[in-house]
Amino acid sequence: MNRFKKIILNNGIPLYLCVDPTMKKVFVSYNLKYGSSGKWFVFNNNGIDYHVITGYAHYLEHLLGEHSKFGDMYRNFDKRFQSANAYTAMNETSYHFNGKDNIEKSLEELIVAIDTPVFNQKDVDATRHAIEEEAASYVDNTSYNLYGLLERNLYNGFELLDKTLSPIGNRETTKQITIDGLYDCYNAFYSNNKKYIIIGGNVDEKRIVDFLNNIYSKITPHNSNLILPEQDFDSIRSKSEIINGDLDIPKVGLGMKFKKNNSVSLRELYYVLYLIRNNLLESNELRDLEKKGVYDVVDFSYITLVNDYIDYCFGFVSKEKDTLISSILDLLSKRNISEKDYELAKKGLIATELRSMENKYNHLKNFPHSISLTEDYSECDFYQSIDYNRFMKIVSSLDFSNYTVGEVKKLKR
Amino acid sequence: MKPNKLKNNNGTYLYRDEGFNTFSIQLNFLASPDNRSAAILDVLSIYLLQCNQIYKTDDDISLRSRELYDMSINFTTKWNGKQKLFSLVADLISMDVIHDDYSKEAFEFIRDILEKPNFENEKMLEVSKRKLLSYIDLNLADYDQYAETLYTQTVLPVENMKYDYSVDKKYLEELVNSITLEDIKSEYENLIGNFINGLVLGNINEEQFNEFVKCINLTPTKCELDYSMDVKTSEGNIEIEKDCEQSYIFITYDFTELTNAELRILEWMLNSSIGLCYHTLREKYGLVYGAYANILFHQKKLYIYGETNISKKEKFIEAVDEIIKDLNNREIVEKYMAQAKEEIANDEYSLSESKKRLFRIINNRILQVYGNQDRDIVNKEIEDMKPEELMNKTKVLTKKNIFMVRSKSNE
Repeated sequence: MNRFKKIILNNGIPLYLCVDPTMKKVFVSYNLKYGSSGKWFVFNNNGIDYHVITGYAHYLEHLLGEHSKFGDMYRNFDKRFQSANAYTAMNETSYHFNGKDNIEKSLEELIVAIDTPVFNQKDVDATRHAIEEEAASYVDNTSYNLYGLLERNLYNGFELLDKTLSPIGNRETTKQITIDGLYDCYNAFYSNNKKYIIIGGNVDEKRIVDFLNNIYSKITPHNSNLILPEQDFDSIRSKSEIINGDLDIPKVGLGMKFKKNNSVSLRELYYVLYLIRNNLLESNELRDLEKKGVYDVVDFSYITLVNDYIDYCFGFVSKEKDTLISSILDLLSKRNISEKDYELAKKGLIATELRSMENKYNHLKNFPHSISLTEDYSECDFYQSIDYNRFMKIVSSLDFSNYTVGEVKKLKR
Repeated sequence: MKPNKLKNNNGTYLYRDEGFNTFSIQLNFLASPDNRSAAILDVLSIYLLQCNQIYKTDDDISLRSRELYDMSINFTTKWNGKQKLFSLVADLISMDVIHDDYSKEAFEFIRDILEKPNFENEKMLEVSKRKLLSYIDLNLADYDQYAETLYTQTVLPVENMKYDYSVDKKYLEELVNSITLEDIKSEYENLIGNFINGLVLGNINEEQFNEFVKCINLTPTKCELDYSMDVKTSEGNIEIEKDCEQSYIFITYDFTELTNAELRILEWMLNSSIGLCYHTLREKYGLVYGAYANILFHQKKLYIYGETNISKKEKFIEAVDEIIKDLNNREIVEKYMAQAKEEIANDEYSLSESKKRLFRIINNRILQVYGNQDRDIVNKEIEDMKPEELMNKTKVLTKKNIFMVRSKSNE
């Protein structure tokens, strides 16, 4: 089993290094603990208050890579036969590439491009077109909108997602993004204490660490005096909301949130909820609801981390909203998982982890999604360490009353 | 990938790679291609996982697959020119990785799912039919899916390719609801006797592989695969107005004939991350977020697809014309061809790192795109190809039509 070695570089940025001689290519990602979530819309930096709209984190991700001091950084990587991309998630932004040769050259360009932005008004305007089209492509996606509605309505103290229900906003919000706002967000959030690097492959540890320290010695460290306001994560915005969508059969969603407490770590809570979710989706009781026509198809089931909360969001194709929601809540709150079912679900989870690790590049690419929970390369040992009694103790402490219901259906205009 | 790495036992091939944590199995059968049969196959593929002579309900099947390390098992259908392939696809955790030799139970489970159907359960047939209708409905709920399905059926209709589900829901419901247990039984009996070949790929040793082949005990039929297609492309542009935000545009071209090698170079020129679609449509003109070209090898068609705002429609059409012109610009073709050759050569190197990709390539080599042409020969042709050879083909590309599912907003 592979392991990460966590090395703190001279400037304080952590490097997660996975030396694996079986990998023919090297994977590199430069990551930031900052993403699309609305918890970063209001902030103070260097004594100045800011309130920005949705979409800035994603816009920055485009700009920094596509309009760097090396031009479009990804094109340079392509020319070296490296596969490169970036993504912005709710809690993180990640720039990554993998390739066989010229890794150090690309690594240096990646760090310099992200740490020394040069984008100007022309670049901001050029980027706007592509983002407008990207944002517009989600407008008619009913599953995406339903999931966004559930996440938005789970939080009332701030806008986790704004009214567009999309972490990247829509055409209109994209038009409102300004170069000043982009630099304000960059200065506040692209600080060294939010960054970390992941490298996996057949690399020499000393050489790569020396190389990184040398690159950073030529770059002025980026520190910010960021202060985030106290935000209320506990209250729910709305217990129920219906939005319009061009569907013959409505889509119905159930969103729930669970808070960690002193006796349960976030990692344990995530594991237990993941397992309960899988157990529900595999249960005979859920299939019975399908056979009775209470729902037709499970559209999605997501688990998301929002600070000290873990969100559960389910989507179904269903004409029987009330029966469906009360049945699912009943199934979840009964939580009578036998020891045999627990062991089976755990076996399934380990199989899922083994499948994920099979594509090492993808596994490394997705690591930022879970870094708030664990810094381990694999969760298999952790899963094995939790016995049935511990599992049931956590299950019995869960509160299923923090929920919201959403629906997408054809509304009369 | 060298062909001699493949081991063949009674029509089933093994490609072993210990770098994986899992192994995958695919068993391919030839099904009858007529229109009603396509719907029957779709119901059958769901029904076979609902009940069985051994496993009475889907709960029993689900429990058994969970006991076997969440083994996934599914049935899929795929068109291959004039024929239709029906495949069992399973994915298993490698016994060597978890140090638990559950191969006997796992292989027997696969065999039982495939060979011990129960065609007497009316209730499960109804559930299967409802599920199928829901899946189709769900797939078509989003406009991009809807547009693609409608485009395929309207502009590129291969005879009997798929029942016409997007156009007429009532027709679809009647078609699916008319299917009986006798229908799926007779379809099953027809295809189970037409085993074409199998593929086992991943971390499985030869002993386990041979055990699997012995367990399923299938003998391949001597059947020629027919890749030819008769396509009757509709003439004239088509615009369908819907209440959607974006407009979905497909621009179709005819070409006379391409070799496998030309196809691969052309695909790379158009679709790579620095390819002409991305470069021209997104980077140069900011018209789309994503766009791609699809080359339908056997249908001798090429189409370029993009999603954009309706106000940018004309600009999009002009930009696609520019892409087609660039395919005949010697300087551009030379530059891209050099990159493509190196990339394709490099691509070979990384094959063993992604099973999904490897599966597709081996499968294609045996079954689909490459037909009987050896991959090494194709690669040699790629290496030797001259720009003018490709330009001779692309200069005869003729625009056939523009198909669009468009928003109602004013231009």
